[in-house]
Amino acid sequence: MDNITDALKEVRRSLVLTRLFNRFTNTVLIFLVFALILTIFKLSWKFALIPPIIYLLPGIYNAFIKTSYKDVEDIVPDLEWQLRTAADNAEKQDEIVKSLKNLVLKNVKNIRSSFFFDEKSLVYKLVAIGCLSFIIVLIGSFHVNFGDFKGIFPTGFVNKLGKGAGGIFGENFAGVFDRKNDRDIYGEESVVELGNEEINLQITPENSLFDPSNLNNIENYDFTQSGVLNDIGASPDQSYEDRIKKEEQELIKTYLNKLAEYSNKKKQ
Amino acid sequence: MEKVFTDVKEKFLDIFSHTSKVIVGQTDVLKQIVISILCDSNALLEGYPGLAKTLSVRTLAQLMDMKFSRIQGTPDLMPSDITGTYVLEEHDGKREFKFQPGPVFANIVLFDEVNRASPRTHSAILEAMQEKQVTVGNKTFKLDKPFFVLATMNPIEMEGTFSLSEAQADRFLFKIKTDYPSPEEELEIVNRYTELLKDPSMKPILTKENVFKLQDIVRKVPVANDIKKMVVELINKSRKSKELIEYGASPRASIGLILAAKANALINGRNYVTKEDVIEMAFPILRHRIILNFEAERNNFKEDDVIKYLLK
Repeated sequence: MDNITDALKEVRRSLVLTRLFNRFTNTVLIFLVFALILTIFKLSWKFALIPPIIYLLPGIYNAFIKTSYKDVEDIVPDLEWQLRTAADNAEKQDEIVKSLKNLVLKNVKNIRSSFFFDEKSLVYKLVAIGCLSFIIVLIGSFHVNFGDFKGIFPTGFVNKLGKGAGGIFGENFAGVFDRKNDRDIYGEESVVELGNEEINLQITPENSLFDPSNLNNIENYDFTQSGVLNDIGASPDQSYEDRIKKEEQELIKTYLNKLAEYSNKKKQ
Repeated sequence: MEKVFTDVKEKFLDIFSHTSKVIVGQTDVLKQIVISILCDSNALLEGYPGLAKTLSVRTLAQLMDMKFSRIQGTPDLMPSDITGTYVLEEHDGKREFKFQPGPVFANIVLFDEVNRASPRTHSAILEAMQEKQVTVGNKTFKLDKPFFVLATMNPIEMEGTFSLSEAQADRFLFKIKTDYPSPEEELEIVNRYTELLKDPSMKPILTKENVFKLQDIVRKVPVANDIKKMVVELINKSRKSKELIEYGASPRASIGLILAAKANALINGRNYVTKEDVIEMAFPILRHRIILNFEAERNNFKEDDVIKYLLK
């Protein structure tokens, strides 16, 4: 009884896993199709998760609950009625039922996982998944869209719709094909076109805050008047205040003041 | 045990090949008679005269090593004519009643034109079929086993006949229909029976013990729950399809259909029943158990047409 029960369970499990795999493949495909559509119309790709989830949940339920031996028999016609009969009579021990169980065990050994796969359709699906992913990456990178459809939705909804627009891969892969970012590496495109020609650059004085030609006596230049450095100032270091005691701080201030006075007197 | 099923299949193929030496065509009829025997049940055979009904049954009896007897149904046939009666015998100057067994004391009984016999005779043969025993006077006699009755009915010439009631017909597992042979088959019949003087003799292929064993195996053939559900749904549908059927089949039909499907699987060398077995057996099982309504008869539907509709 155990042998036949285990064998039947194993066969059913194989079919359940195959069905789940097929369902997941289809789910990914549906997701990519919707993600592509939403990306093209500049809507959030996150909404593309809804149709596949709606498709996936009944599939999981059916795979686990509704997969029966009949489904296996439909795929392997040589086993027609054998699996169901053996399963329904598993507890019987007479010679005839035993002979049926032996027959089923013999036939079940010949079942391969490939029986449950439609290889052709699986290949098509995988190719389609690859192509769709590539198209979405391209569209996201080049910011291709056929118009902004956010306007047709209520205002409160627009923020959610627009968030993430640009494609599922668009944000992460934007740099890959974005020519604006190429300037960081290759420089300005217009300059590149000049080749090795010599260019004379001239900085016009009107655009500067100070005139470089007046920098003859730089020691006398008062930078505080330029207005540029107004926001630059000094403040006591926190460590200075934290680490030195109050009475010692006074002592150091006095020392430094006197040292300054002495220095000024000496200059005069 | 798997070999047993293969052997059984070969045995029956052998039986059918031997019967084909005597009977041309009628393969389905012979198969259904064999299935009835394997189910330890009885069958009604409806067909026109001259379709080798007697020859078929006698040949099968020879091949299964069984005692065969034939009863011709007539309106004046009395129950004692078939069950047997006490006759006065004299031994050594002493007279005593001794039971003289009738033709029902055989393994295979062909009751020709059962609908010509009186209802009293019907009840006697039905008791024999059902109880496998006969009561004469106040004494009951057990019949030999296996016991199989094949009752024939002529679909024409219905004057002066006593049709079997629905309850009586329900006790037969099958209603087997025989039809006229095709022109090719008829030519073969003409060739064969205008050249031969007598039927070729048959040597038994199965013994009574083999038949008992096979009857036991038939009941043990496992059936899937889906098949049982399908059968019960079909029989229930026959009761609910009021648009064509006035009265549907009884639960006896469900039991008979499962049993017949098991026997069909066995003679095909299978140790499990398939949907095809049920479909094939549904026709002879239901044919005499459904009564068509006026609407169906007005449309000239036959029982088999309605069974096809039920199987859809």
